[in-house]
Amino acid sequence: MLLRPTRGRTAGTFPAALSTTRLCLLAAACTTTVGAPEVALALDLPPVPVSYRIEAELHPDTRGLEGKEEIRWRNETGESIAALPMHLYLNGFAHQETTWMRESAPRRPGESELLARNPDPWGYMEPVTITQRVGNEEREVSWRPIQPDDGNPFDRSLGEITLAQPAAPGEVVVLNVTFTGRLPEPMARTGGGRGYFLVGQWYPKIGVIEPAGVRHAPAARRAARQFHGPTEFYADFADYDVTFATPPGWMVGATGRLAPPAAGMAPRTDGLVTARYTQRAVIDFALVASQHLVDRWERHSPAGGGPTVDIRYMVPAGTEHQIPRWHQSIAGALDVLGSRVGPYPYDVLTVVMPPFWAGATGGMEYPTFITGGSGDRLVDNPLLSQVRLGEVVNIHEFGHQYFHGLLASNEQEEAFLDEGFNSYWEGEITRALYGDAASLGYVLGRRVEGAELGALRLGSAAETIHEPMRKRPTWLFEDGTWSLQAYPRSAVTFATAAALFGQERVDRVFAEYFRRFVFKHPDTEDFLKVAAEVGGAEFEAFCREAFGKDHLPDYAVTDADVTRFKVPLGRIITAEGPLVVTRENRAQHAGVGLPEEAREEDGQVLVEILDPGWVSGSEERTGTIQRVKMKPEQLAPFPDHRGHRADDGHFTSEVTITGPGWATLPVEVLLRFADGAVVHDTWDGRARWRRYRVLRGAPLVDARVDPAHKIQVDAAPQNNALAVDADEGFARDWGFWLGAVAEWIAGGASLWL
Amino acid sequence: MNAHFRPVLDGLRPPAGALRLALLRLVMVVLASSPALVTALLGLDAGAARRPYFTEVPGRLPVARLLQLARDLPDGYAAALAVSVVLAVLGDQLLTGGAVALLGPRPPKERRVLAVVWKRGLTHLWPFLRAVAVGVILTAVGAGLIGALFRRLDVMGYRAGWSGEARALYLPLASVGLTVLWMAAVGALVFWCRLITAADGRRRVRRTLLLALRVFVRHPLRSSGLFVSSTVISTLLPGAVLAAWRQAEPVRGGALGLLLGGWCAALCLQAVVWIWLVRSGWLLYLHEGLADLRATADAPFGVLTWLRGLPGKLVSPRRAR
Ligand SMILES: [Zn+2]
Repeated sequence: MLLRPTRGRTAGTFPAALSTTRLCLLAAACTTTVGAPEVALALDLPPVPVSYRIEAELHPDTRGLEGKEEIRWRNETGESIAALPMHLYLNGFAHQETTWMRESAPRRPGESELLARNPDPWGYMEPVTITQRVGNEEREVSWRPIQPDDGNPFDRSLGEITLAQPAAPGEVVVLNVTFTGRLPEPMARTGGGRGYFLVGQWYPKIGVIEPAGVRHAPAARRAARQFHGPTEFYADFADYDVTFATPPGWMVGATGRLAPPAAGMAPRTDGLVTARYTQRAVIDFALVASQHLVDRWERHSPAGGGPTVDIRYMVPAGTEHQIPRWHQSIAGALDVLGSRVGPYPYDVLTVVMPPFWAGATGGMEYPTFITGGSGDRLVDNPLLSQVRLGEVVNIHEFGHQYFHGLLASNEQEEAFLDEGFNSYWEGEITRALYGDAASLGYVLGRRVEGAELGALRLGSAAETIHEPMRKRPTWLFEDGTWSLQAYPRSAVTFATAAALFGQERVDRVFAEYFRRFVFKHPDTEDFLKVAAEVGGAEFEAFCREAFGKDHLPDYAVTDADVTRFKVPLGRIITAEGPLVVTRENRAQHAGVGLPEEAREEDGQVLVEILDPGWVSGSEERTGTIQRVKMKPEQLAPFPDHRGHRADDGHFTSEVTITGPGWATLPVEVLLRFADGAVVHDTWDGRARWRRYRVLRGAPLVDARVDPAHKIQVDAAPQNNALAVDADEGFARDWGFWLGAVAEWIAGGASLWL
Repeated sequence: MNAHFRPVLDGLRPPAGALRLALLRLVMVVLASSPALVTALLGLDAGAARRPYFTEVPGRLPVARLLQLARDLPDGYAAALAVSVVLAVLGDQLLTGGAVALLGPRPPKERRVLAVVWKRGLTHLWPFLRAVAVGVILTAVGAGLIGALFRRLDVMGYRAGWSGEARALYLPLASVGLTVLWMAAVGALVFWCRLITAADGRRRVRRTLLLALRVFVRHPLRSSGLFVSSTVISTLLPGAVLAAWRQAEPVRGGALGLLLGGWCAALCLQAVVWIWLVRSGWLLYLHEGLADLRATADAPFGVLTWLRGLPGKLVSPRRAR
């Protein structure tokens, strides 16, 4: 599927290089990129409502930023707009009581560490002047910080510009802003010092006012939020034209492509070197400036079509030899997403591997510009060289080009639509590239499987999850749970969907979701609508339940026991009449009280199934006990099974399983017997528990729910199967080892104390 | 120092009863740890060993399942481990008292090892336990200081732009290594303190600790050097067996027997090293060059008495004015 080329009007008309990347040529005079390849094919990107022309300079010694920007914002809300929201994200790092600082407290460095790293780690951003062009006149406008989310009077991460003249529907507002600011010590995807700066969230940026209909808004509404700890960004698509100045000797990389200096721009006389980058139709713009990075260009034509992509790797000097590993991951991600979701519409991508000390600027997605894990010798160390730590970060951040970058859902409100969807695709890509068994490589010869680790992370905290994944906003999830809700929960949800409904169906849903909503800011209901239309009602119902349940499902086999059948004591009616069985005469009446079906002369197994019943909203089912004859699958017997010999009388096997009480998660149940018979059952999983009782000539060996482990969203896959008897070899191996560990510690302690 | 003075080598020639002592120490460690062993075996039998999720994995458990197994460790294993450590430390106090008596120049007439250990162990138990308390405090303080030092080094590394390999791998490894050495050094001090306590029948732990330090100053290699090196090696060696055991996963049948044998050998080595340390320590302490230390009175420093008198001393000169 190719993106349908849609040509259209962009806000304003200013730079030619901005309306098409076709004109983007090499700037021979610029010293900051050496060996940049020829420009690839032009792109047709949609019209966008905003454009930025920014000229800014970095003062590395003070981490200072100075700049001016011309913002053109077209009023697409259908209403007259008198005030515009404006993000000043760097103010999130201004002091300890900003909303970002407060909310990030559990994850960011604490006060002592922050100050030990740098006694002045703070960043900020202040508009100096703002004017609005009204006719031929530049009218000064006022702005003030606002705190619509939490009322925190010390938070200046969001402002409001009161326009000198309200903007009528369709009108383009032209604002000229001069600003001054400072990057923080590396923190949350931005900042720098000592020869390296990741310049992110660095300019006054107009916040989103959603027109009616976008994300199901009933009327135009302001969607701009303060800068929050747990979530990232939401923005309109915009065209960017950024000229950035640094001292000589600094290499600059940025969103988009290098362009020739803008026409009419006077050469600088202050000794600073400029680089101009432009990019159409992206939601943000970030740069890196460094004295210590080196760059290499690669080129890749994605499997799914779309333009050939020039990929620029910027890595710390001395780690260039790692680039082939990074390129394999990025090219693979382009191929998998391109062929299964949709083509990457841009022809350029910059991948920055930050130095280790500035790792806080790594692992971030900006449009056509991502930061991966640290470029460091650590990756080559024999202990870690088999783990794909850097690759998985690259793949994740590249995936964000789609899930957020191109779809541009609202991450502050519904982070799972990008972080979660992207985590699912991160797993798909790593498995496609590196195989199912050990998609993340090996540690000390042990397999590291990304999906299993994600599920473990989620499952080990399953008791802390009491809210639906789709709940809004994401930054208001219960303490410690937002990242579980936003990342692995939807990854395992879609892995489950793929197992239940087929990979092909999941891929079709994603491809259509992308086709329909690329550049359009979808929300959860938009996705569910596509899920219903393309994936079918069952698929949609599953997604709706998985997104909306306030707990994770957990199937478990809680009991699996075998008792030898004994002739019941008491007065029993037999074919010959009543018989009183006592302890003394029991042995003479073998077989009395044994149901005919237990002999299985018809080859069928009689299974007694207890379903306790359930109530869910207005739905209800009364509990039952049913005796069902089932045709078993016949496998080889388990001759060495401990305790019970298959030819030695009859056995009552009892199995209790528990389930989540979800409506859309039917599960297969499997009972395996010592004679090789395997009974299969399907449970709709709606009651909270279920019991099986089987009386037959062979004992149960083990019972399993979801034997193929389709339900990857299961919080505790380890309890999905239970054997009647312990695996003696395993118990001895680990039991003696744990005992030896205790001896080691106790012996060591007694030697040294 | 005369050429025939070879306490370290002569310590390897064990006197009568040494073998039984070593055996007793081995049995003590195994018995002390048995709560953890039993908890682990029974817990696994009822838990993880019945879950095919763990038992049906061919080869080594993948990382995710290993972590899950660690989360599903038998209830009470950690508590049993703590009990094991306490029991082993207590048992070692009794053993050391007995060993110092049995391996010394004037072994008791009573030749039944267990009886000597019980009697002599109880005699010295109280000062020994106080020495252990000092050891625990020193270990904790040292580990805290080493931790703080490495946190500062890490910040330094951050500011200086050190590589991730240096900061995320070598610094933590160095921190662990240094902590182990510190623990062993504290162990040497506590050991020598107990040796001197039992050798001379002393009761004043603080003074005895100083005597031990003076032995370290005069014969650093033969006292603390020998203790630290031999105990670190005899501790790392069993650690290596444990690591190899897990790398050989899954261990079944003959391989399990082999590893258990290797494990027992490592424990035996630990016990023999301990005998060697007691014996060579004795021989060193008996050396004429340390006679002045042995002659030091077992008197308190009087710190508490001095502190009690301090207010009076501070007040009276003023009064005199
Ligand atoms: Zn992400």
